[in-house]
Order: sequence, then structure tokens, then C-alpha cells
Amino acid sequence: MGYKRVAVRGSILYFVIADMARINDMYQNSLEYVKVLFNKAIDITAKSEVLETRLSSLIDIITKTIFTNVSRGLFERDKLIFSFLICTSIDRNSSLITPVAWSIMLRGAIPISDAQMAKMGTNPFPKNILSDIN
Amino acid sequence: MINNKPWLAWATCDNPQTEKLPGEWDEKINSFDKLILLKAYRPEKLSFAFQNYVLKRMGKFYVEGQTVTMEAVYSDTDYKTPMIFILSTGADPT
Repeated sequence: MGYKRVAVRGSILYFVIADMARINDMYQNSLEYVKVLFNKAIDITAKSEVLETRLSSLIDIITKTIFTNVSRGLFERDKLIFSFLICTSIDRNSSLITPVAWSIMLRGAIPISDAQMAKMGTNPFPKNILSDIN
Repeated sequence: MINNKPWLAWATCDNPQTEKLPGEWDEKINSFDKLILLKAYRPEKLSFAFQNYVLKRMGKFYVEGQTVTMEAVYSDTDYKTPMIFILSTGADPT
């Protein structure tokens, strides 16, 4: 079923929105609200005889509608992080970003040992940087 | 032994988030890996790079601030859905 892709996008968006509450207590949106936006987006999406066209416009309009409405309720300084989280969540879902890469981005890597450090030879960069890129 | 010089140049330049990586690395790793590199070397440039990443992956719509008109927001309100304005210090909409 092709429509599953649309549902997947809806679920990704909902969980990013749910996570936003951890940035600021005021960013608590209900699933009910997201569902209202989701259904509204389905209604306004242009109809098409071709399933593929219909699916891509659904995904596009749903993402835009939910993004616009939720973003409006965020402080200016948190808007970029919201866009970035949506973007990376989509990319993680399609495996463009691996779990390992995501974890290093969030938490950094395990520090490298002195032996590994010696193997790298003389180096102008400090150890914590070398750990993260190793 | 890796030649560190080009990396040092990259890591200390003004805009590493838009500058090409040394040698074959610009082609070799994907744009998210580049963010990790940037986070290691130049964390202060990350927010610019995040913006570029979103721009590249999803388009302009998701990085530009959406201007809100009263008309657009008004249609979302009803007798139990009020509109609340939060103003920053010094703002005077009157």
C-alpha cells in the first residue's frame, strides 16, 4: 500500500513535535492537534489520478502544514532546531543518517587511547577533536 | 602519515561550513558526516551549517521565517480557541 509512506511521514512529524516539549514546557502539543492539522492538510491537497503524484503532494502539503502551524508557536531561537530535527528525523528514517552518525553528533565519540594518539603522529589538533573524528 | 596542513587551514578558516574539505574528503563523506566534522572542529559554526543542511535537504520553505498575517491566524480561532500575543520587551504594536 502506497499510502503507508504518508502515514510514516505523519508519525515522524508527530514524534518531533512531541520531543519539542523537552526543549520548553510551553511546546506541548497534543496528538489530537497534530491529527487535526494532518487531516486538514489531506483535505487541501490537490487530487490526482496518478497515485504517485497524489502521494508526493500529500507528503509535501502535510509536512508544510504541520511545520508552519507548529513553528508559529515556537520562539524564534528554537525554530531552526525544529526544522533541523524534522529534517534529520526524515533522513534517519530513510537511513541517510546512520544511528552511529546520529549518536556521535549528539554525544560525541569515545575518547581515543594514548596509543592511538601516538599512532597519528604529530598533530596540531587537541585530543577531544581527534576522538570525535577518528 | 596524513598531511595536516590543509586540515589546519580548513579548521581555522572564516567559514568552514561552506568551504570545501581538503583532498578527496569533500566527495567521500556525506553532508551529515560533514556536520559531525564541523561539530568537532568548529562547533560555533554549527547553526549556520544546520541551516544549510535543511536548505539543501528540504528547501527554502523550512528555513525562512514564515510571516504570519492576522487573516491567516484569525481563521483558526473560535469561541474556545483564543489568540494570545506574547511580546518581547520594548515591542509596541499599537
